[in-house]
Amino acid sequence: MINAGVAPPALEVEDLAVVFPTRRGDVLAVAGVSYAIGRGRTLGIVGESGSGKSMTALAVMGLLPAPGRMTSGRIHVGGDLVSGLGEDDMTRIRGERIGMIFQEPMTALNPVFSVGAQIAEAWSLHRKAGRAEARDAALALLDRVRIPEPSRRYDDYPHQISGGQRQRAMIAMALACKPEVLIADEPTTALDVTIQAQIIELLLEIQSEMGMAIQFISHNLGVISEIADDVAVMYAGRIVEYAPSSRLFESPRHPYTRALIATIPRVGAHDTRLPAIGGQVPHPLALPPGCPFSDRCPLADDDCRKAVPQLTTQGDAHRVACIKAEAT
Amino acid sequence: MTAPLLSAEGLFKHFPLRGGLFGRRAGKVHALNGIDFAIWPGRTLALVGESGCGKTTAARAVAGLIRPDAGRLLFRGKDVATASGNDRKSARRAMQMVFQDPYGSLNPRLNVNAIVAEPLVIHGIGDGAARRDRVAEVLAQVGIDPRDGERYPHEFSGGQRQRIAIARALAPEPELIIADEPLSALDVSIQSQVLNLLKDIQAARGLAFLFITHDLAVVDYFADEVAVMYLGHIVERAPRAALFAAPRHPYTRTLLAAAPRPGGGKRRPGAVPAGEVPSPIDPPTGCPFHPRCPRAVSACRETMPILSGGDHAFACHNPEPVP
Amino acid sequence: MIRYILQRLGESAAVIALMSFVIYALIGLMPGDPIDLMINSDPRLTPADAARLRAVYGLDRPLVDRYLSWAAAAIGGDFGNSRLHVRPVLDVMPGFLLNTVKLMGLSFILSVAIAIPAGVIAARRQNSRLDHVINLLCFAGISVPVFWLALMLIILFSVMMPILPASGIASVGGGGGIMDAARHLVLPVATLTIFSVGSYTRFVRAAMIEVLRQDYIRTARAKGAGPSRIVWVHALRNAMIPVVTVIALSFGTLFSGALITETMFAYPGMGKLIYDSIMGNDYNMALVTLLFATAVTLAANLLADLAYAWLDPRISYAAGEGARP
Repeated sequence: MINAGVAPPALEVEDLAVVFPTRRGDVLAVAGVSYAIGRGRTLGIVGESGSGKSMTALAVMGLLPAPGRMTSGRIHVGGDLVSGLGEDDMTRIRGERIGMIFQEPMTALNPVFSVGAQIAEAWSLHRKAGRAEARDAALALLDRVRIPEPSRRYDDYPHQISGGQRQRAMIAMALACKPEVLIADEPTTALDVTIQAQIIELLLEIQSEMGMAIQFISHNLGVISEIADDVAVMYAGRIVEYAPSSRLFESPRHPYTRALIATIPRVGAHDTRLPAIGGQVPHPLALPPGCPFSDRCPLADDDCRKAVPQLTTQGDAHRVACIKAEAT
Repeated sequence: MTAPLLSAEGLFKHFPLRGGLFGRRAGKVHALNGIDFAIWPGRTLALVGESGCGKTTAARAVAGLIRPDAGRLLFRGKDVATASGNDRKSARRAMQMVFQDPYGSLNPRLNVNAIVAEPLVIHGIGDGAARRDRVAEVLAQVGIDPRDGERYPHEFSGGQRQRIAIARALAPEPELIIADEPLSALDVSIQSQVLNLLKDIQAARGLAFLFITHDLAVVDYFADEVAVMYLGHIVERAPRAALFAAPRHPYTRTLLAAAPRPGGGKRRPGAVPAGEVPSPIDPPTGCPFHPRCPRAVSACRETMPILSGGDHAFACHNPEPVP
Repeated sequence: MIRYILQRLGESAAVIALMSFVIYALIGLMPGDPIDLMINSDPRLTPADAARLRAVYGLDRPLVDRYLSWAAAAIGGDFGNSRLHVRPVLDVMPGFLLNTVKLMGLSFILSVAIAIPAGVIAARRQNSRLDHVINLLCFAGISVPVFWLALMLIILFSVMMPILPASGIASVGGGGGIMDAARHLVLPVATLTIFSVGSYTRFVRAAMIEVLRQDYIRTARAKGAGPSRIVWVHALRNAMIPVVTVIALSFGTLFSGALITETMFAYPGMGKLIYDSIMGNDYNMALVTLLFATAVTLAANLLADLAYAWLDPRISYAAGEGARP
């Protein structure tokens, strides 16, 4: 357990599995994923498309799109079991104990209601209060997320404000009830790079003020590096490496993580050739036997194809799912 | 000193907004406000900027998809707009474009062979047999098995589609490829594959590139010259090494500070100024960056600084000092 | 916004003027004219008489001249006399119009009142048995020919179980009154309602399904909104946008469906009036009633566009509004 401390972790996920039945068979979108996030800490979940990183988050919220369903797993928020709760109980928890923000703020906001009204709704869904109170709370939240001229923006519609402001409005909505956990699913991917930096600063600032845990999902290792305390790398529905952020970047152990870090262009690396990862992410119904990365891995041999490697701790809170990793 | 393959001089483009009754104009989007740049044979010029800076408009103007309101585009020294029919056609053939969206830029109803052969058909290059050979040749070059040429775009992944789009651009043997954010829609591990491919092609064929991107890391990897754009102006233009070693314009410095660095540790507050890019419909007076600029002085509000400085040019009244 | 409405009204007036000529010409091009009908009913009329009568009625003048005379009079408010009813057109029409308004109005309200809940329920429980049943009923309503439906209802409720009257708006020799009028409305309204409720329900269902798939619904759930609130507050408002447009545009169809219904039930409404006046070569009446139908369709379109702008804040007809980049 990474950084559990004395108090129970803000979010703890054990052995989560998500299945999507399709005509050609059951797709295992998430296979046996476990992690924990302590109060005030941020876990970055990194993966490419098909890694299962978004499905993991949706499963925690109970928002898996049909026909997907959670086939196993226990989820605790602040020590309380939330997996397996009925829809009525989940409705109470969503927004109040766990908040979520999504990738595309333009489509994630209701186009026919004003921005202020949607934030006020987030605030008043979980408490009994009048409209004036809700409006005041929403104005305070708009201010908190640093939207200039909150009273004018309150009545604006989503299409009338900029992308960066829409994402700030989403953050305001998610934080309205001061949840213990904030799940952010690629919140900066659709934004310009300077706005992305501002949003990350904002999240870090609010986190240190409110003490909430953040689960930050992204495919961008650079962004993860800027916000996460711990990082979990996902591939084909499994966590393949899980370590504190600095250790992951200093000495990545899993071949996929290494390849991913090496393959990103970075400022200052002009004359080197970018090592590319051959092949592509396998279709979930056509996974290679054993380790899902074995068909693209430079270290793979027959042992790798015998069984799916489990996450094992290799000294100092650094967990890897690779039988070849200790050799390096 | 060789002559540039392509030069843009004073390009202006303002898109009218049709609002209200009777189509009265209700304002303009000031997309390009007099930009100059040049691309040399076999070299890459990167246009960098965020949304609303005009880089895509500039790319389209070069490709001939948009006609600028003012300014000139010279291909091999000849003005493309006033050139004779043949000159214009050969200029169009020599400049091919690759787009951002690998899903939208390929016609789903044509198979790959037809897609890649289309520029050959349009420009009347070769006969049936010669075209088939050429299509197979370029497909192999981009790493697509020519036997898959009978297939349709939906049967390929995003990275493969982008390769097909590149093959299509290579087919008529162009001299310049205009690539508009070709990597943005691809998975991380595929981006480097495509980037390597572009670098290899450039080396093998001596192609020039006009590369549009918002990602400075890709710029550092691929570009020879860089032009940074903000709200329809070029604010800094320099050879790559000089730009990264000594950025003079505060916006360039902002972009560098904002770029995420893997392993760089948590973001520190204050590195990036507050505020957003203003609307190109209602740009600020004077220098467009002054409302957000940490180095703004009173002159910045009044007059637009001129791009000057020779090889390493910048448009700023109060530039960053040379380190 | 006012300017937009004025512009649309101006355009509508132009369309009506153009349509008046088109309709006039179409009727004029129909074989036969009132004089032929007179000859058929009175064999003693000689060709000379026929020629003289034509001159009297002005039927020997060219079409365009006749149209212009009509138009000149019409602008002054004189729409002429109805040949069949032997009274000014404007005296005859209101009575029939009122009957049609009752028929169409009631069935429209009823259709919408049924379609919205049915469509919402079907969308929420997509692919359930209830959804299949609702869909089946919708398709039945859409597929059944109106005249057959009318006949079946008449057979069922007026012949086999004589509880409702088969025709007319009031019983012969009856004392009149609300109850009697209401009983006469039941079958025609039911026919017209069944005709339109099927397609309205399908529109609502399709719009709701599309809306419920959207990202903002997922956001609302993530905030902790319950299923009722999601459907009735977040989703419905968005779903109504396409539905309102489609329903308004189908108003014209409703009008013609009313026509068949009225004929089947011998219900003295606009539909019957139009039909009889065309078949009876009653120029003036046919013209005015058809123009009225045109005006109703145009008005429905305008209302649909205004409703669309009211419901969807992204749409604005105000001068100077352009989308922000």
